[in-house]
Amino acid sequence: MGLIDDRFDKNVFTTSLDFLFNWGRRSSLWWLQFGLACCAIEMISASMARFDLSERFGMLFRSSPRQADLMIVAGTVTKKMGPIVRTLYDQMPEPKWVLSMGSCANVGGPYDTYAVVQGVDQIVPVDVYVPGCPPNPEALYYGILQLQNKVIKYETMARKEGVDAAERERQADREEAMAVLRG
Amino acid sequence: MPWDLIFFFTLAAICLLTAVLVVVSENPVHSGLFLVLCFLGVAGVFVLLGSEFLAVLQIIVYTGAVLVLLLFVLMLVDPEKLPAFYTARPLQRYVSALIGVVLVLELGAAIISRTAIEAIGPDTPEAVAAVGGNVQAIGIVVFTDYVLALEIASLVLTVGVVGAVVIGLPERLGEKAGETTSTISLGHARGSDNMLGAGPRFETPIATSGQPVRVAEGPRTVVMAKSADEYTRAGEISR
Amino acid sequence: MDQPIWITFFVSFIILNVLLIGMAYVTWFERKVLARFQDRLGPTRTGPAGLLQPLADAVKLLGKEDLVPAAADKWVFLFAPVVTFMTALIAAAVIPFGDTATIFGQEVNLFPADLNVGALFILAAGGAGVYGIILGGWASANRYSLLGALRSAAQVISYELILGFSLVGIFIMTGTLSLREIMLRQHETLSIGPLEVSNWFILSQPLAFVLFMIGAVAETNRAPFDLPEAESELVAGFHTEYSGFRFSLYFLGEYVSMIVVSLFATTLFLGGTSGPGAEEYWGLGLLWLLLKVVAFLFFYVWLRATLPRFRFDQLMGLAWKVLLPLALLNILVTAFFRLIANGEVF
Repeated sequence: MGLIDDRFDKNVFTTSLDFLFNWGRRSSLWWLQFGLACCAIEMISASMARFDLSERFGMLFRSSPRQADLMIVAGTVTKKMGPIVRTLYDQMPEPKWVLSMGSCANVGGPYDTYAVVQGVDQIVPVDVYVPGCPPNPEALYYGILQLQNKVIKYETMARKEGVDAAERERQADREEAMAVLRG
Repeated sequence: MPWDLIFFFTLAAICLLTAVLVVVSENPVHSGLFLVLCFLGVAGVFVLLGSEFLAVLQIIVYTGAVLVLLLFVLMLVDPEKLPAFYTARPLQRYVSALIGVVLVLELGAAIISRTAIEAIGPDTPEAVAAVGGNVQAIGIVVFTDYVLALEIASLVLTVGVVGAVVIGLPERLGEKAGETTSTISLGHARGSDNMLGAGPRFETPIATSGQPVRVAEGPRTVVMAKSADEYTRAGEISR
Repeated sequence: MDQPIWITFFVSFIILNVLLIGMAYVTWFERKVLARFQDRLGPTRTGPAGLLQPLADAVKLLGKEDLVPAAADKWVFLFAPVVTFMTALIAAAVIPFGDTATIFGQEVNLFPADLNVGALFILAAGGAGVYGIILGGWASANRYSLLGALRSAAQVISYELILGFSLVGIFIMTGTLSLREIMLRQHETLSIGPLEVSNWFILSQPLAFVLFMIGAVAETNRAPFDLPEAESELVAGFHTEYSGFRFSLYFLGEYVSMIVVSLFATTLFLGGTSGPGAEEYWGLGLLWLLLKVVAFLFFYVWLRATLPRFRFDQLMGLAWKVLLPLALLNILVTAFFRLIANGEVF
């Protein structure tokens, strides 16, 4: 990142271009159709006729992670499911966001057991947490609106820096864990 | 240089280049792709000659044909097991080169003889315009002068279609019952694969993989599947 | 009829841009109509009544990362969506948007090209368009993509036959393959006893119209024939691995071909620009054309909202066992009546 750091000051051109793109990103957050547990039922109900979360805000569910911008982790993430969640996240193209829905995805919920990941933020970086067990559709789209407020402030360069830092930290953690495993 | 010539030479160059690439491509799918481009170039030459009908037919018929060819390549050719290009059998190589040279000579002779005697065929632009366009002109020629050839060609194609249907028929019409392979997945209850014919007639006994089992209708090979991959491989072998 | 080439370029330029904007708004139209079918609202937040939604989608897709899978055949992967998109656009080149009009004292042809094999040209473009799908599916090196591509190839080969055969009746009746002449033929009026009706071919070829519509829906890979991208079985079908703008090229290609097929059907069966007042004012003719096309697009969305997806064997069985014999029967009957009209039998 050293090469283009601080080379570009914020000016009218770059910020308004950023605003245009961010407006587009905010207004068409296509989400990955990915339900893990009971929260998925609430997610489905949020997108159905009564609430119409998906279409009103320009959202659309895509089955392929390649075409998705938002991953709604809806439900308990077991340790077996963890790697799959991470793979799906890695398969999504940048820029991408994660919304953790429900107590299980936030902190493990009632399942303080050997089999459940205690919070999906141990696996993927989470942007918005929606509490509830499960959160009702209103709660979910309050979370989506908060995410939209976050998306509109998106900065490409800062994001890249953050992603790189997170990746370095993850690699360091991984090597540490591997060292422990090797003894 | 007139525009016609520029277009013609561009199209001709595209045709020749892609024709060469069809032969030298390592990947059979790429070969098919270049073949399509070559045919499109030929269609362009037809348009330059003022016969749009032939050009469009060229695209419809040959792109469809190459599509089927590509499907065969995708389904039947294992890209791992292809022989390297230059290790093809020498006899094949020389014979095909010889045939190519003969073809070029033949074409050259035809063109040269035509220009030498300055003969023009019966279908001049004026003659085509007189019958109302190249669609009409081709229709008249095909359905009067060459009607026998057309009928023979359609007969041959019909035989091909009938043959394909006979080969592709389900086995109950092909009189090969008793050779069917039934499978039991460990994920299902015993015999639940045959839900359609449920009842005493369809009780499929469990056996080890590949061993023929006698049931009411005759022997059938029962394949035990433990995982999806194993299931696929066992299915192939038993066939 | 002959006009300076710059006018042709200008007309083509306008038609191309109208098509591109129209296609963006077809996505909006579809989302709105589909939402109303399902008792929802559809996009409401992005601009008034969600009218800026296509723009937002386009901007977002432009800004997305353009991923190429490591195992993919890179050049074919990058090239394939362009094929689908371009062939869909090229097909619009032979659609007549009216006959000639006088604009600013200049005779202008309201069609980019009056090809004497126009109808076949659209079929050829549709046949070439499937290459984008099969190459994209193959180059992705993904099982779902390949399955979607193979399904699409089999489906398009089968249904192109139906599409072609359903048009033969019209060719027999008019004796031409030029779309402009077919359209002008339908501007005539037909008197059945005391009744004066337009000579629309939907009246004389109703069976062909039904066959054509079924074939057209299958040819454009739309529900209920959207097996190549059946999301409940194949993730996203042939474009599973495509992200960002390359995905949107596939998406747009699909919508352009919907519009072109609607224009094609209107020209062949519903008299194109014909309608009250269309002979005097060419603008009114364009309005009629637009209305008919929107009706067809509504029909597309209606089908998607109503019918479940076919199973693959049902799809093939329908094409080869039902539609093909019907199409052949239609040709036979039409040819017979043509012979009677010519006075060559009886």
